[in-house]
Amino acid sequence: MRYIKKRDGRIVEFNKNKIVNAILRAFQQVDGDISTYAIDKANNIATFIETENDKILSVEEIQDLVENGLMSTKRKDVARAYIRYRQDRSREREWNTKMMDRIAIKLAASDVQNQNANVDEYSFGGRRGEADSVLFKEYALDNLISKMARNNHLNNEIYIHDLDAYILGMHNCLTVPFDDLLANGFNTRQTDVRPANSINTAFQLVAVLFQLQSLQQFGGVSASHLDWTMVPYVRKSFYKHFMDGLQWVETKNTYMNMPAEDAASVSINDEFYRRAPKAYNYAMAMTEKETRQAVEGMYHNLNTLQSRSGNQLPFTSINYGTCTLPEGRMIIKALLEGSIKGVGKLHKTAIFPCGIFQYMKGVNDKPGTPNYDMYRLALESTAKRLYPNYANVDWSGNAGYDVNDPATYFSTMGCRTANGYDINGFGQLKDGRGNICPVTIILPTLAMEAGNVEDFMLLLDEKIHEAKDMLLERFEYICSQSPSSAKFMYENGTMKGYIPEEGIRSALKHGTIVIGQLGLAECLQILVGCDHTTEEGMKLAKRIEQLFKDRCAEFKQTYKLNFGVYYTPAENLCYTAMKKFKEDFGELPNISDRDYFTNSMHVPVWKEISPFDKIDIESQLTGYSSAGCITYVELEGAVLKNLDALEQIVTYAMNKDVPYFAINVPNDTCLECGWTGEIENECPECGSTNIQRLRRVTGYLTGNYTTAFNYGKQKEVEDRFKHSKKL
Amino acid sequence: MSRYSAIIPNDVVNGRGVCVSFFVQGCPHRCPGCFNEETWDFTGGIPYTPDVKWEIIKLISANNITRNFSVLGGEPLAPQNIDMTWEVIDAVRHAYPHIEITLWTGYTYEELTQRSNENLLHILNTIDVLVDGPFIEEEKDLSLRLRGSRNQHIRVREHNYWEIQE
Repeated sequence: MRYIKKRDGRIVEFNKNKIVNAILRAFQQVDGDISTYAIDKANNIATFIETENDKILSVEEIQDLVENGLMSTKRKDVARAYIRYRQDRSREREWNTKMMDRIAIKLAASDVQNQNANVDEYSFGGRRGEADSVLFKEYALDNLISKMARNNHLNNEIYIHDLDAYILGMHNCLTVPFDDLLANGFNTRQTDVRPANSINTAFQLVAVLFQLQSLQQFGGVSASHLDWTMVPYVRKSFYKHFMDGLQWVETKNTYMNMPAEDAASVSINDEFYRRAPKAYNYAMAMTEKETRQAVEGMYHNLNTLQSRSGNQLPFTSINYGTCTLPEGRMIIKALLEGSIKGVGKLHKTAIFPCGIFQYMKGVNDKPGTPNYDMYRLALESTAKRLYPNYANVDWSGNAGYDVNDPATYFSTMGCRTANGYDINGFGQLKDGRGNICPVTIILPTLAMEAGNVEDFMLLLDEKIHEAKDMLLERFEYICSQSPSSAKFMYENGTMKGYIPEEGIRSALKHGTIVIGQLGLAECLQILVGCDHTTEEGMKLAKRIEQLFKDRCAEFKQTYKLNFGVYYTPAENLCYTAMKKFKEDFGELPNISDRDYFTNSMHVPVWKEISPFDKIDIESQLTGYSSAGCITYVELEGAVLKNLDALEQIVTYAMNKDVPYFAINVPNDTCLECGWTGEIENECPECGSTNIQRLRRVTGYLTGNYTTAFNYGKQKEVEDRFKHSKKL
Repeated sequence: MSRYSAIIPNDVVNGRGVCVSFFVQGCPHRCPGCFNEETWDFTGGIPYTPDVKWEIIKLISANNITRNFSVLGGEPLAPQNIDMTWEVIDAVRHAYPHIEITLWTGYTYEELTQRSNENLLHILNTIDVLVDGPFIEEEKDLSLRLRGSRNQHIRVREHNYWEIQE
């Protein structure tokens, strides 16, 4: 009796039939059928192995004997087929082992990279999510996407974002249509939720809806005009408090009644209420208090309720600032005061939601406008908490919006992704729309491959077309999903436009599909030896952006889909793309001598340049992007005591037609006493060195940057030049 | 000739709004705990030339916006520096009649009123905000606006009268 040693080390009885079958498979593959010659040969070889000697053979040794046996026949072609089969199998085994190793690393969280600063890769949920992600990415690359897409991705030319979400067919992000959802209620798998009847409930439901929607997609969720959205619920609460006031506080009892259904449409300053001054004052005080508590509750919920595997908070953003009604102003004030106050015992800066103040001429832009006081309060919050950022309602790129419909005002996702003009009928409406999927062209790779400007422009054009094809490929794949994969979203119309008979494409077609870019500054360095802070660099930068813009406009018309130019956040890509770039091209001065590529079309963070000059330069390029961009400047923490300076800088950016603007100030919090500001080594208040250092990544904030950011981003933060410093 | 230590073209810390700030070189007070020790030495820094004031005037309206102007040090009102300080302030005021000019001094206002110096009078009649008094480490308070220690005062000029502000 012969024994063999299997790959896993077990010793088992030799099974002659297995050898015969393996050989016959090779014959079958070459000849199409199995001849008697084949059966003879297979049996001869197998018998030979069985009787050759009595040593215990390994699987590999047996396969060598089979190979030799086949080679000694006249059928060399069959021998080659067998060898090929054997190689394929061994590659597959290797792939499996490698894959298992990578999954094991993720499961054990033994090599945490912080690809997304919001994911806790050490947690149970994080380990599970990261392990899934390895498998899903590999599957998508090997089995799902086209060869062209795969090559672009692997060659560091065009990056496919969120590859792990590809096979599930999820889309990216969404502006949640809160007006409808709060007014009509919504359904979940287990129950239905009634319309909100008070400001407190409305804010609770905002957190719930954010949470639910974030499970239907892989990116962020936003509210486009939360101040306006909340007006009816302030009124409903006011009505309730007023009625209580009539009963308990007002002495005279000669009052007309108003049906509760009307409450939502009657101003809290209405004559009806004012006729009972005591009840009115009582209702006002109670409503303000309830609003404050409701807002605090929302901040708290959005910073505590983890979702998705990965133990991450939903990426939430809220836009507000333009509502001049007393109810809207109450909301804005509560949101800003809540932001300034902070969360938790030490009143730490709230990481979520990303607050975005909508700056609007005639509404809040200068002294004398009705919400100028809110703008000032926003600036105070920005100086202390980094939020809010500023969205420019008057931005030329949002032309065609309806001044009477705040859902069309320019608003954005915290990171920067914005809903541009919808070619499929929704126009500038933001609600119920989002980004479906992005890709990013890694400009420095193309610049190296091309070598000179003219060849680069040709190559870039070719790659923009391939990027378009990659997006169409993914868009169609997403459209092929069943609506039951995202029941909450389609049943409740959180993504607008869904017509069941037409399939989910009817909703997805209103979203954006966007071509992003990374490393314009380094690309220019390669091509012309300077970046866009010089005239020569800027000339080429504009030519490059014009090509992006023209092509996206053409694609939009041709395919009737919302193609757009996107200045990608590239939180992790700035680092991984650079790492690959260095492997291919080495360390080149001013190009790859750092650990990250410069974000989109930004001026390099280390460039010593004034805040106004930085705005002057970047604002020349923001107009090319319809799908989202952000400009930031870095300032010293002491600006908190100089809001006039902050106002000058923000207003300057808005006047320069920057669509989305953010200020970076050091936000260090002492974890012993809660002192917040710029802390060098120890807390100036209590001397502790237990300091949390909060910095901006993309447009959002995250926890301590020294532990939550990936290596490249950490390095980038350390290189950031403070634009208000000495020049 | 007097010397200066630095010009910050977009200072968001010293002054109200975005300011151009001019740091003179040389200080007789030498307060313990000073944030700017490298400006003590009257022979340090950069020699002042009349071109410096034109440079400052250009910086104040760079990018087509107007900034305020701050004079710090060092000690701008030290006898060695006072003529330079007046030359700069005078030129800036003629170029920009309406901007806010803030000056920091380690002398107290009372000490200044004891001195009889023509340029000192000109300066006090031209600037809008005076932050006066030495830095005293025991009185240090980081939460103060424009000041390092509690003994220092922000005085805002209303015609011929100085009003103390928080």
